[in-house]
This record gives sequence, C-alpha cells and structure tokens, in this order.
Amino acid sequence: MLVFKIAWRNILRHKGKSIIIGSILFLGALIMTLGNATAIGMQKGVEENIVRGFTGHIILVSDQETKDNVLFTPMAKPLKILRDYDKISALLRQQDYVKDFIPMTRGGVAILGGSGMNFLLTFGCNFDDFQRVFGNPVEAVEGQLLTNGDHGLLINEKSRQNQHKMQGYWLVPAGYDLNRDNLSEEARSELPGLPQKSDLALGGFGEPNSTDLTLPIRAITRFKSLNNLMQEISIMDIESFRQIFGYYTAADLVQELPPEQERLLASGEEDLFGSADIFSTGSSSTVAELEKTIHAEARPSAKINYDNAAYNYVSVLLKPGEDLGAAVARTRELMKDNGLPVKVLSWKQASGQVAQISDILRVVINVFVILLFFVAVIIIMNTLSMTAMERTEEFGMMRAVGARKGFITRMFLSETLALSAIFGGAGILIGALVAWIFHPLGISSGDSEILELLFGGEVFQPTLGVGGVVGGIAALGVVTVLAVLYPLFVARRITPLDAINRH
Amino acid sequence: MNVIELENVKKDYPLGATTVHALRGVSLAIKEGDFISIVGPSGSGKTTLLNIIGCIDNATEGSVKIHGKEVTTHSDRRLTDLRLHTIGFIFQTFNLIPVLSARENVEFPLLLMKKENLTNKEIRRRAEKLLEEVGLKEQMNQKPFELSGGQRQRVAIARALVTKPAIVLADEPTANLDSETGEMILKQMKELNLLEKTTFVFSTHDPDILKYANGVLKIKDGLMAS
Repeated sequence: MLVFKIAWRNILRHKGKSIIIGSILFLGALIMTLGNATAIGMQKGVEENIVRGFTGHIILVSDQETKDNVLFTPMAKPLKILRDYDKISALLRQQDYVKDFIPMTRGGVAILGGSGMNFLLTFGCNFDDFQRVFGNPVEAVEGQLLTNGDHGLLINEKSRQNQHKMQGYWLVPAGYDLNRDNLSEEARSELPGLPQKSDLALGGFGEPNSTDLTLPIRAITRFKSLNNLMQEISIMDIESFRQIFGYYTAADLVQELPPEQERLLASGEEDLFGSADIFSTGSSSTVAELEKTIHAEARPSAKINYDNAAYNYVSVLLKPGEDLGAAVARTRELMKDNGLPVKVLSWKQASGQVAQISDILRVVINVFVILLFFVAVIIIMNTLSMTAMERTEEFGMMRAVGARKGFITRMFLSETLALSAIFGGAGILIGALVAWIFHPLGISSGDSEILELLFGGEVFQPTLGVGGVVGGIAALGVVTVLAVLYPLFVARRITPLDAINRH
Repeated sequence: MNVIELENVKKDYPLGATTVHALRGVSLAIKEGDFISIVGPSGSGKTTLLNIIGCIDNATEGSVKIHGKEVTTHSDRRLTDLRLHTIGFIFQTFNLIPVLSARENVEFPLLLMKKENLTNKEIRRRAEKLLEEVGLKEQMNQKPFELSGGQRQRVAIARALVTKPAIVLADEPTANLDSETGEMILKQMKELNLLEKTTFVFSTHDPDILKYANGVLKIKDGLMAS
C-alpha cells in the first residue's frame, strides 16, 4: 500500500517525465494493437478468400509428387495421378475435423491455333461440387456457369483480356452475343471488326498421353475475392480435363459395348486369330468397324460415377476452429495407417509463393512492430535511467532510514507498471476501438494486387479478437519489463552514501 | 554500557591517482544515553565518522561494534535492518520523501518494520504524538515543500525517533537553520535524550551549541584530537 501510494504520487509529481514515458507507451501500444488487428485481419482474409474459397486447408496429392508447391506451379507442371480416391474419400468422410472435401485435377493447357504458345492454368472439377464446397467463389460475368454433365471452359475476365492482347480475338461464351459493356478499351477500339471466338482448341501440356480437344467457352467468370490474384485460373469440367490429359475418364468405365464387341472380347485368341476368315469382307466384326464403334461420339446411357476415374489432388476443408497443424498431422497418420499412397500438404505448402508472399508481408508488419517496440524500450529505458539517477537523494535517504533494495524495486516497478497500465492500456483500448469501428466499414484495396494480397481479399477488415488484445497486453508487459530492467538495476545500486556524496 | 565502539578505524578514498585518508585510525566508545558532539573543521572527517557509525559507509580497516556486535562483516541487508531498528538519522538537508506529508514521512520507517505488527492506527498515533512533541501539530498534513527548513528538520527528528532507536545520528542538524531555530531543535533533541535515554551523536562546527552536549569528540585530519 505504501509502495503504491509513493509510486502514484511520484507519477503525479514528475508529470513531464510521466507524460513522455506514457506517450511512448501509448503510441507503441496503439500501433502494436493496430498492427495486430491488421495481421489478424489479413490472416482471416486469406483464410476466408484463398483457403475457404479455393485451396482448402489440406491438399492431398500422390506420394510420387516430389515438390510441395502443387497448386500454382510455374508453367503448371503436370501432377501425378492420385490413386485410390475411393478409399481416401471413404476415410475423409469418417473424420470429425473434416467439414468437406473435393477431388480436383490441375494442369497447364496450351491454346492451339493461335500465334505463338499460350497457356492456361486449368483446374478440372465437378463444378457444382466446387461451388458448393467453396461457397460459390466463382460468378459469371457473361454466359452460364457449368452444371453437372456440361462440357466446356470457364475463362476469367482478366484472362480474356490477356488472350485478346496476345491472340487478337475476343472470347464470347458459346450461344451468347458480344457484350459491349464488358469490352476492354483495346477491344472496343477494334469495333466493329473485332474478331470473336466462342471455343478454344486445347492441348495438355507436359503430359505424353495428352490429346487435343476443342471446348466451348461456357462463361466468362470472375472470382468474387482475390480475382486479380487468381486471374490466370481457368476451370473446365472434369471429364474434358481427363480427355485432354489422356487420363482414364469416368465415361470409359461405363462404356456400353455393342453386342458384337462384347462377343469379340469374350472370344478366345484362337477364335479370333486362328482362321483367315476374319479378314474376309462383309464380316460384321472387322477392325475398321470395331474402331468406328470405339470412337463413336455417343455417350454412355448409364449414370457416370466421376469418382471412379482420375484426379490429381483432393482439397479438404476443416471445420471452424480446427488447428491446421494438428489436422495435417492427423491426416498424414490416417493415410499412412491405411497404406494409401498420399502426400498430405497444408494449403501454405501447396500454394507456394502465393502463401509465402502473404506471409512475408505479415512478417514485415510484425518486424515493424518489433522495431517500434525496440525503439520504445530504448527511449523508456533511457528516460527511466535518468529519472533513477535524478532521484538519488530520495532513494539514498530511503535506504538510510531502513528501506531494503526490495522496497526500491517494488516502488520503481509500481511506477513504471502503473504508467504502462494507464497509457499502454489506453493505447490498446483505442487501437481496439479503431479496429472495431473499421471492421464493418472495411478498407478497399482498390485495384492493387499487392494490397489485395496483403489484405487477403479486395476488402480488408481489421480484426482483433480477445486473443489479439491479450497478446497486446502480454507484449506491453514484456516491453515494460525490458525497459525497466536496467533503470531498476541503477536504482537498486543507489546507496545512502551516494545520496550524501551527491549532495 | 557502550552502544558504539570503534577500534582503530581507518577510511581511505581513492581520488584520481591519489588516496585521501579521511580517517587515520579512530578509536572511541559511546555509552547509552550519551549526548555527544563531534566537532572539527570542514574536511576533518566528521561526516565520514558518522557514516561509519551509522553503517552507511564501510571502514577500510578497524572494528565497528554496535551494541557489542561487529558490523563490518554484515551484509547489505543486515546493515539496512540495523539502520531501521537501531539507528535514527537526521541529515543536514536531504531528509524527507517529497511526495509524502509530514505525518506520512514520520510513519515511513514504522511501515517498513513489518515485524512490529503495529496497526495503521497505532502507527498514525505514534507519528502524530512525536510531531506534536516537536511542535508541528498544525503542519502534520503538509508536504515538505510547504514547510520551512526548521520545520523539515523537526519532521526529520520525529522520524528518527519514531522507531525508538538506540542511537540517533545527526550530521550538522542546525547548519542550514537560523540560530533561534537551531537552538530550539537542539533543545528538543536534548529533551528526548533525557526522556527516552536515546544516545545522540551529532556533528557540528558551531561552538555555541556545544553547551548541550555531555561529551565532545574533537577530530582533526582524520584523527581524534582529544
């Protein structure tokens, strides 16, 4: 009680110094709180827009993959086929931490027939499932989004502009007229003779079994969030992707063979090749006819189970509140225990530079805050040391009449902690208030890709939960203790004799 | 019974490349209830001697005993406790805690003495009684900066006595006071000496106040003159 009384009165007595130290603590706490709110807001933005909108938290790929950066690989190097998807999906369904999951393919396709080589980073999926799992992240600017069973391509509006610059034509969804409102400035200048296309001839890139396929443009799209960041991503139906890359398609599995082919498949080798009759004309089972049947355009009448065929990876979304690291570890163990040839990656590992840039920017903010605190510690330490030396007579007299070093310690600490609590507390409070006010308003990134990445979306919402406030208080405590250590050492060393000599 | 015994105490201070010999082998003994004045010219070693007796400075050589116990080997903590419980100090000028009132300044040593188990009410009562005795009943709630030099010295006397110490040390307690106030303070010290049997040792270079002392120790060039 005596200690607090003296400490409090000393704060009031040395108003100038108290205000200097208090102001530094206030500013430090305010900037730290806003920095925290920014970092947490960015984290949440990334979580909402990249993870919950496109990548998922966990990515499962083939254990044959040598690199982790599987989603946004430069030049879209082909991924290995993920084996045993049926078993993987059965296991994932049983896990309490898994909210949902979706199998996908990913590859680079070359646009054929134009001038020079032009690539699209393409993802294949059952688009209805994609929209459901990721909360409808893609919207149509023109045309109609894919629905189950549709074949075709969804091209990003930014990608369309790039195609126009490189190839000279303007992509328009098949069956739709040119929408003049969405034309770029360059395209508009070419009217009325602007070349238009509604389909693209595509070839799988880097895959030896790939084939060429012409696909209709179904829609010009945009991602609701982070569209600048993901503008090069095109989406096509899973079966078209498989055909282009020469994967085993679901349709292959349910192909209904005509009776003639069934009879041939059931025949023994002797029956087929033991007689020269097979080359006789007029036979209904000639090779030519067989080939014709196999290459027929007709689709099977039986229902297609897309899950039976090839995928490159599975995106897994976790339930809210689940710890990513723990979930990755559990999934790894799960796959290993069941002997599945799967490599389990976190979204950050799988996203490569996309996640790293966001992390780097966050580290920059944290480093700035740490530097700020370092400067604050130095200034406060210096001011407190001067204060301690100026109070030599007071401390020396207290020691002379019987105050132990512990008393001086408690008194000096109380003064500094009180300043820290009052001014630093005000900084945290006002910082939290600013974050709370700006959270619903949001801060737009404009059209800046860097800001969009930094914000984790097109609109940044500073967010500060209880954890952020508690973290801020802890950081303020650390700063205060660090700043007071040396001055305390100085104050404790003052003896009654120092006071007499000084006098 | 001797409360203070010094045997061949020497004190050297380094001063640049040279050494100052502040005390060159002082021996003395002071009995309980003595009212002793240490006199000598400036720089003779009066303050150094008081500091060593009061355990706020260490002797370079020799023996210092308080109540028969050697204190030169005590730790800082034991010396601090000894000052709190056994010795009262009245310094020349810097005496009081600026943020505390006169009464709170007097209460301060008692509040440090946790083992006495005094209640806050008893502490307050004792402080107020002493302030009354030194004539500061009306000023007990005033801060040091609101008091005159003489009033501050009287608060310091009250604080020095509040723990009922065996020894009170005063370093030129009247040096910064006018003669009237100085005499009044010495009278009060003498009254308390007679009343409480407290041993007083004070330094002075004013021959007019020696009449109050029942013993005078003369010091010159770090040696006892008589």
